[in-house]
Amino acid sequence: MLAGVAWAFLQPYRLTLLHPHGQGFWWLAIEPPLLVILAGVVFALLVAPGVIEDLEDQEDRP
Amino acid sequence: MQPPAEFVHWMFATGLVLVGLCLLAQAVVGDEVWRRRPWRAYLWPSLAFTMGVLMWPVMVFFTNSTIHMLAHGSWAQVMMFSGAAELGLVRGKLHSRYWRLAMPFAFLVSGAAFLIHEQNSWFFARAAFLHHLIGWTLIIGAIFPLLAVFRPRSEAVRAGFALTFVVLGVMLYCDRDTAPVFGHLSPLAGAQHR
Repeated sequence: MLAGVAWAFLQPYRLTLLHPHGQGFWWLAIEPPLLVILAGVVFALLVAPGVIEDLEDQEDRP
Repeated sequence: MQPPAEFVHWMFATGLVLVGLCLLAQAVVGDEVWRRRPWRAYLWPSLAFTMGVLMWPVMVFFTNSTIHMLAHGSWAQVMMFSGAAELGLVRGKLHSRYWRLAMPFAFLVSGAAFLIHEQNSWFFARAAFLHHLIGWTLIIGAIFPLLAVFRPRSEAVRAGFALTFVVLGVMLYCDRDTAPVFGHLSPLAGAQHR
């Protein structure tokens, strides 16, 4: 997720959302920095919490 | 409404990054923790299999030559095959550890398909450069899933396997329609788009 945000700062011209005039759906919504952020958000929300919970549970076991 | 080809590459790159993240998390926490919730064990093999399925419409709608179509068809087949083999192993339907050879096989076939179907030299254009780079990365990266067959608990091997997917995703994200690479763009490649 942070990699996507960093990429967006390094190459802001890749974010067509910042200058959307005359752009279609694909150019507005599907840009690599946004996709990297999306992958990070999906992993952070759907996978990571359960993994951390199970890891803590495993470590708490005698 | 059909997206340009580079968008399809970026969407598949996102799938590869997600597979890489899952594999990396599994390598870090270990199989026992990762498989504590049954759905999680199926996660990355299902993603790999689904990407293989989705490669078929890409083959049909986005290829403009026979060799290009064959390459995409081979990727579809080996992604489905390796994903299905991993699903079978996780489910317990497959027992032999040698089914894990499906993954290095998929890497080798995919890498060969990249290298064979790219007809231009490395610096012809960015797409040509990426085809060569991804092809060789897959062939060299096949060492990780191959070693994982014989040393399944090696953290270095598992991390290398996971990071190979992430690196492949980054390379696919670099794809652009008719673009230069390190300042090189053959006049035969056409007008630069981006």
